[in-house]
Amino acid sequence: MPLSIQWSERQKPGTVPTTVIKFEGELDSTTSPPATKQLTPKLAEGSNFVEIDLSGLTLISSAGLGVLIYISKTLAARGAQCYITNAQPQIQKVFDIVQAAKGMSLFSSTKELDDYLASVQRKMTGKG
Amino acid sequence: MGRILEGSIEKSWRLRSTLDDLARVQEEIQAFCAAQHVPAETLHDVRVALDEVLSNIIRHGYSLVEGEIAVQASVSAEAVLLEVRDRAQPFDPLEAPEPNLRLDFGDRPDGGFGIYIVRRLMDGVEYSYESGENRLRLERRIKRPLAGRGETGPRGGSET
Repeated sequence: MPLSIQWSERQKPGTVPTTVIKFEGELDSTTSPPATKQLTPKLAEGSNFVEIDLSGLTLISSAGLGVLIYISKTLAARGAQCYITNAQPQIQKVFDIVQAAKGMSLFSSTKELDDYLASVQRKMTGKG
Repeated sequence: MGRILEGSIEKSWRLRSTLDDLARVQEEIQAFCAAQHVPAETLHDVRVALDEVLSNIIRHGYSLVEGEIAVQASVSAEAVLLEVRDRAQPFDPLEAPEPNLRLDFGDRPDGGFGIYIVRRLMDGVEYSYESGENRLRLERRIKRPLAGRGETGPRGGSET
């Protein structure tokens, strides 16, 4: 099954500007190399807060985990944070196996991330 | 493991050790298993394991030199069995070291998760080297329905 990657920018009232990278399809040995190639130039730009939305991702193998590690390392190098949201149960199962939560910020939903980003925003602006 | 499941339905594929052929076999295995009503969670695990095993053979077994790989899938009411055979140099993936999970996810080296994931997703993994072939057998049992919840099983093994 092919993979598509969509980029968008969003900012809900009370939260920080966020770049959203949405994956749809399967992230495996076949789709991961072109995904990395597609992501590389874009990771250098955008917000310092990046949401990796996996709501449309139906399969991930170790090659796909490598893409997520690559994203995390590349963003960290420019001081940006990345947050993974909406992992479906089969994706979460693979995350659990490799203990991805150790060092990665996983949120079960975009709303949960927004609540967290709102608290970050409050701290940044000194309101709360 | 290493057994023929009673009433199982089998299908075999031959592929070149390329990512294009890996993708083709994945699509055909998905169609084959879906036609036997293999539950989605089982099918996902089987396809992840196959991606790990085949990509390992392509990259490390044949070292990106083109060779031949044979895949056989057997589906019954109880389990999905996969046997993957290749003629690359003898390589027992089960001897691969486990990844260092103490490191933060983002700090881990790329690679090293594959066989670890396979072992955790499958209920049985066996390797042998016979007649000049690496043979890896994978078994993923199918959970039976639990009082209105959980996965539903396949149609049964009597249909051939």
